[in-house]
Amino acid sequence: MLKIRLIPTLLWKDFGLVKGEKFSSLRRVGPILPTIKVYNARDVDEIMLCDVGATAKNIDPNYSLIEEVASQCYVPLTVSGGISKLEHIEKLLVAGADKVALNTSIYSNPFLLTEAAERFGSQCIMASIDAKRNGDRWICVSDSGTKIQTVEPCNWARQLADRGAGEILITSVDQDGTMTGYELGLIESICSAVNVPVVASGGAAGAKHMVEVLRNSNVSALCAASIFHFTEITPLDIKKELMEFGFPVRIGI
Amino acid sequence: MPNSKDIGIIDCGISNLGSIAQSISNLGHNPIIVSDPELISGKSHLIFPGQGTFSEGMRRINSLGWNEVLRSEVLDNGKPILGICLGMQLFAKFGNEGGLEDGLGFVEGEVSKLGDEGLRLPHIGWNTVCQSRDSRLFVSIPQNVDFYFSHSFILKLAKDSIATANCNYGQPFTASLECKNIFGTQFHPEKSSKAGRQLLKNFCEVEIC
Repeated sequence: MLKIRLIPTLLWKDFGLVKGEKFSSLRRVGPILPTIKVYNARDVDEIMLCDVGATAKNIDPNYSLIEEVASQCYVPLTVSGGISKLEHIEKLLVAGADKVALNTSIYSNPFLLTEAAERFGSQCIMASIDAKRNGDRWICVSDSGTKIQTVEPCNWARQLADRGAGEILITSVDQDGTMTGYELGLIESICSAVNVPVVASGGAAGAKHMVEVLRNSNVSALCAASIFHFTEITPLDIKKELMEFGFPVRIGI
Repeated sequence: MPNSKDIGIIDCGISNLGSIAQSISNLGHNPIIVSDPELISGKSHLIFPGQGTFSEGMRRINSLGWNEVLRSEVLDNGKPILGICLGMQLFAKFGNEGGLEDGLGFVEGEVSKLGDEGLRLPHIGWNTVCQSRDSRLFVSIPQNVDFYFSHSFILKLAKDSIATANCNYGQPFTASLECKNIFGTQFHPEKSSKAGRQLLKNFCEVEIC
């Protein structure tokens, strides 16, 4: 049976890991390699690594960082942040990334997604959508949450899946770092809009929030960051709880 | 390191070679990425990783001159080869992405799309691998362990007897095969944590027939 994936998200900025709230007030949470080693030892299902400063600074992805991280990573590694050309993707895959997530660059250049999926296969290309509440609806935002986009998240998710995205990562900016639970309505609406796997992100403080979202929608994977940075809860603790609620999870050998 | 082997990783430009090379090197062997078919000799084992589409994979195999070389190394010289994901699918006689096309033809079978009734595709994530018969690849790996999958197409073998494990996603499908010196996994051992590491270790220990 296919398992629900639990994915720790690591945010990188300049020279170390950070975590904030609602995409701002970032604070330092430590060096990256020891963190990767811990996640490996704990046998997480996958690791997501986002360079949150790359787009604003208009710099290329940090290939040597990815190479270092990948050498310590025995589960799939998804890399995002500052990816705006096919050449970036190619170099990231050589450096050891298994998948890439595209976000800001595809608002102005959706063809990049199509070309990337054709060249590297859909399974390798994740489309990432950051969304914010706007009255009783949601809007897409890009550039680390600083720029409002006109397209509506469900509509955008559908377009991205049609263009060849292998997975959709949906992050709620309002819930990010608040540890008050996932944005259930948003996640459910994206799950209903597309037939590719959907990865939920933003707001988890523990297994109970994950149970909420799993009961409410057909998500394939759950991201979390604050839990692992700021609490003693381990990925295994969460998986054991999810298992008690009857959800399929992977317990490593 | 004693018993360290030269493991050739075939580079047709269709895979995340970094991950595979790293896994082989962590096992104490020498991963050698081979981009030029003429440089294939002298490797004790071959790994053929692949992602993407069957037609693009075959186009690259043919245009880069790999078809003849692989045929000779695998079919004539009996060199152990492990196809991973698309790599395994390309061993099939035919691919079917909406029209039949020739594969390498190392095993009798056809590659076609997973049925998608009510299921999200691609099939991405960790899924249970059920071993159906003894295989040198699964030595010291428990039954029903999860491996990491990432694909939308499956290999339908003409002879079930060469399948060594299966998986289920809406329908049962071949998760691994073994036929003399030819091995394949639909899942990604290089990304499958400890069980995957053991599988790659087992492959590197397969003796040449």
